[in-house]
Amino acid sequence: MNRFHLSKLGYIVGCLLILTLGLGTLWYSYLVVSKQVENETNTSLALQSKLKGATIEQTLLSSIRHTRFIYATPPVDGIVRALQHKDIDPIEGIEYALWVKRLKTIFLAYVKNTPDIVQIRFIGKANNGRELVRVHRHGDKIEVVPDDKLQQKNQRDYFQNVQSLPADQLYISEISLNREYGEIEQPPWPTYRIAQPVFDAQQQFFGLVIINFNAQLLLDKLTQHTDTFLELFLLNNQGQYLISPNKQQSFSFEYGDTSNWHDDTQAIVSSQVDNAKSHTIKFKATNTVFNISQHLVNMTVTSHVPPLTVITAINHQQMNQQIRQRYGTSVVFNVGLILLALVLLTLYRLYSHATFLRLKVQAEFEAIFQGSNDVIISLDTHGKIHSWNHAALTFFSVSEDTMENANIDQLVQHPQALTAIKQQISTIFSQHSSESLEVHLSSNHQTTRVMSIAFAPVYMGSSTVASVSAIFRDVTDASLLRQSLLDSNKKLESRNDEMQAFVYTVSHDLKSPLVTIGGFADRILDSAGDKLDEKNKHRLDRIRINVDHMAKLLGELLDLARIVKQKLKTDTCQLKTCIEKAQQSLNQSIVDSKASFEITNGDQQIQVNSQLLVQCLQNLFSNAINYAVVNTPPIIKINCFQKDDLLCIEIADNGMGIDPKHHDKIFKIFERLDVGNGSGVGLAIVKTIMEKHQGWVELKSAKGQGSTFTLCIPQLNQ
Amino acid sequence: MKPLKILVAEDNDDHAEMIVEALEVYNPENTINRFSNGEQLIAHLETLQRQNIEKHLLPNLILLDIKMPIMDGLEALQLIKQNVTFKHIPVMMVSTSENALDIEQSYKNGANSYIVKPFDFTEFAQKICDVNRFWADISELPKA
Repeated sequence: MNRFHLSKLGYIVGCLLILTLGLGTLWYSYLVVSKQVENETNTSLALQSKLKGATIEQTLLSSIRHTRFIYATPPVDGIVRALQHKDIDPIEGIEYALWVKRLKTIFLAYVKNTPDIVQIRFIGKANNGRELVRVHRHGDKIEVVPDDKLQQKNQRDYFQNVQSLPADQLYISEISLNREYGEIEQPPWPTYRIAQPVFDAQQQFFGLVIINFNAQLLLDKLTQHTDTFLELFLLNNQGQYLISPNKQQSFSFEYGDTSNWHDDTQAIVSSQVDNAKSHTIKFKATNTVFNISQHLVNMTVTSHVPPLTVITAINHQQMNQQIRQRYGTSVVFNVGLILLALVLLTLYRLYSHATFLRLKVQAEFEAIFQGSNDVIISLDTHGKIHSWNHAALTFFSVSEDTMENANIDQLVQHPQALTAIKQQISTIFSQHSSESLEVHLSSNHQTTRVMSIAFAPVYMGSSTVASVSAIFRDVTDASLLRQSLLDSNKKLESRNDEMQAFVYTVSHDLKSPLVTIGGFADRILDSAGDKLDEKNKHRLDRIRINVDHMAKLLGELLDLARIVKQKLKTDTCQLKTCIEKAQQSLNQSIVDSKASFEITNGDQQIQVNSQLLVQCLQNLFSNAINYAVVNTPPIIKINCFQKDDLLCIEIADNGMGIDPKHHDKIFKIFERLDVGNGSGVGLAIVKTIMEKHQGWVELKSAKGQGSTFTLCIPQLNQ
Repeated sequence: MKPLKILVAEDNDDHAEMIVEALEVYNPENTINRFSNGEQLIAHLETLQRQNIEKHLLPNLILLDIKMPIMDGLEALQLIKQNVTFKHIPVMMVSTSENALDIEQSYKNGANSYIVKPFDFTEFAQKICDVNRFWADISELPKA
């Protein structure tokens, strides 16, 4: 029906697809992020190690320049020359002591102006390598060591090493903790020495210029400006720690600790990133994994430089945390996308389902609309036809094309009908409702049909009437039927009236001769009664008795006619009162027959026409007396009880009873059983009165067992 | 007892005869004029009116049957009670009808009594006598 309709299955599959894609994307982005972070970290590590290495190289180069500068100062050569020429420099003509004094001044100034220089010495080979000039820094104090305090140094390793160096070559020591007389000076501080050999005019080794540097400044420079998540290691050529994140480990080898990088770590993976070697290593002791970058300090000077290794490292935990941080953003973004997609899909599903249902309802309506036998059209305020069904085309016998541009004026030819329809349409537009019409229209067969037209407003939005739908139903047959029904009803009513008149006239006309017969019979008896013989007297008596009987019959017939005709008016009365009224009218026969009454629940209030109830009771009592068993005084028991919303009055007698086969018969007019002297109308009156009250009368009786009549009266108003 | 002038409109001859007999039982000296329908009665009254008859010579009582040809009792009653001269004469409706509508209509039109014709002459005569005596007594009341 709708190709954009998303079925339930499609919806579920769509959801699963989105979830799968989303989870896949999440996994893939995790991979990408972790790779990215690892690459970035490795790059950063490599850059940092290179930078740190460069710092070391620059510092060392600067230290070398200091050494070379000191070496190149004139007093150094001056001293050499003075010492070899009896304390007087032959070239400059300056005494040894003066050169020494000048050198001391230079040394002093230099130390003072170069913070990382701790000590500058000029040591001669003579006198077992006795120091010639020495200036050192002691805390904040810079002093020139007096001559008597100068020491012999030819046994020290640096002296040995420098002695064997060619000219212009420099000696650069390892970085180690400073020692005084073989003991580590307290507090410990790291140092390194740079020395240059001094040769005399004959190119013989004379001595050396040596500077002690404070390495702490360098080490501080390295550890400063290091990213917090990066760990920095500086190793000497034996892999011993000069700098370690674990402060205790730095220079621990000076105290006899044998731990070193090569023994402490285990390589796991190594890779090459941007010319820096990147490794993954594990510290055996703590089992922590690090990514590291190693940089070997590489000096371009032609000197003996002890190899130093800078290592930058990052803990894997640290790295994973970074991955997680960055991945977190990605997860939020991804989950957001997944949710958005699910919401969009759900909305689409809801929309498409609603559309589906709407189309379905539309299709159903269309089917009803087109399949209807009623003519259905919709019109605008000008009477132009906008939509129509098949029945409309057939009824007005026009083609689709004609209908397309048709106006109601063209379809309805009867001017009266047209005016009525137009008036209803304008009523709809102004008042939003209208009554249906019944008009005569010509159908396609040119026969006039009676059409009932129902109008309804077609709303656009909530209150604007866009058009009017008109439904034409052919009610010709129904109309004919209704007309004939009305005619029959009228006839029936007039027959009924005739019947009433007939009953009235008959009873009147029958009564007239009875009055005459009865009256004249009385006159004869009055005036000539004593002249008549017994036989004729008896005959006259029979006339009188029959006149009375017929008069009673006529009276009851009139009663019955009146009851049928009258409109029922009810009031509330007490049962006892009605029984008493009935008894009063039967007083003579009650006395004659010695009848007795037993009343139960006589206080009951009854919603009834009391006059008619009295008549009922009177008829039933009279029957009980008339049909009593011979020589048995009648006993009439009256009981009253409520049964749901019915009020039941039970009248039981001890009379001769009625055979069940006659039970239906006796309620019919003039149906009288063989015995007794009833008129044959009494029970018909009882039945009619009960029916007038929407109730009924029930009979329980059998021959010889008495009769029980029950009057059932609905109590509607209680 | 003063003899009365009584007008009777009754189409049934037998009933008329019985009514006359009953009225005679009450007072044999009564003057009774019988008409066969309402029209004859009204014509008689109009004649009396034209002769400009003295008030004490007017009829003392009128008996009307309801169901009569040409003009029924109810119409005649209406005409009598609309006439200034005759509207004071007591009118007694005598009918076989026990129809409540007839009774109600009669009293509405100004009837002074309504008697259902019984089948017993003695009872009938008694009723006529009772009503006659009542109206006779009223008409003999001393003038104020």
